[in-house]
Amino acid sequence: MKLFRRSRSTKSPDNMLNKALEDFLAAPHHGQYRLFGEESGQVCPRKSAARDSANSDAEKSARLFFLMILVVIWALIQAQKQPPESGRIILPPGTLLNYLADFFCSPKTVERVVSPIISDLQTEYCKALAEGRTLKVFWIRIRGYWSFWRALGLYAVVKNLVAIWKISRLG
Amino acid sequence: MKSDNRVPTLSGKEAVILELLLEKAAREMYGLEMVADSRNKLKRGTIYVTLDRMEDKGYVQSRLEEPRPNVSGLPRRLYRVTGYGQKIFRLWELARDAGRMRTALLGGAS
Repeated sequence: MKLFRRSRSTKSPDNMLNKALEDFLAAPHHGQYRLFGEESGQVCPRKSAARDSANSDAEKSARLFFLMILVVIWALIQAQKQPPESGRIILPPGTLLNYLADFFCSPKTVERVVSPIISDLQTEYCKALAEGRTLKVFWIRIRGYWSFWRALGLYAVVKNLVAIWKISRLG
Repeated sequence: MKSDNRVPTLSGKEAVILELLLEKAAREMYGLEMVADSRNKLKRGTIYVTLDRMEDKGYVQSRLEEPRPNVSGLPRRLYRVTGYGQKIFRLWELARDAGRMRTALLGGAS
């Protein structure tokens, strides 16, 4: 029965292998080698790797879920905040999205697609804020951001499809 | 007006937008207003992409709203139908009616 396995990086002639074996026996926890069943009895390494991967995925999902909860709580807190006494909004919703679109999209896309969406978001947001409807304010933010990403995604898809169609027409 | 010889096309959403704009031909509309008036036929996330395409085709034209006093934020974009867009919509209506009539005459058989 094989007691250990070699990693790919240590593929070498026999004399090097022998030396490696000696090293291994001298120091069983060398980084390049791993004993089968060393940690938890005779565990198949593939199953162990699969279990580790599943645990890692579960941890990632849990972290993502926790992050989403934090974002929702943060958004709710932001929605509950009263506007400053001067009645002015310091940073209207969608400002950062506008900067982002300015950076990544063409001026035409920003002018015709992004700016109207953000303008609608700000108009609705101000209206709801003036009525004191905090939950609606929160909902408008979410909906506005969703519209933004959806429009940009759709725009990119349509643009690429048209490009492909033009290329196929030429070919 | 388009300079190429392609047959102009009008999708369902484009037809809804032109219909809304022609209902209120006396004034311009902005996107959110069209979404509200369309009875869920148009969506917020897609209307501006459709309007952009229609503007490229020459069916509608747009302009930025005049800045309003005491109102901050981005100005809204107002849309109105062009003469070319009106003609296309009338043709589309004729084609639709002809199709319905044909379906009625043939008893639903294609």
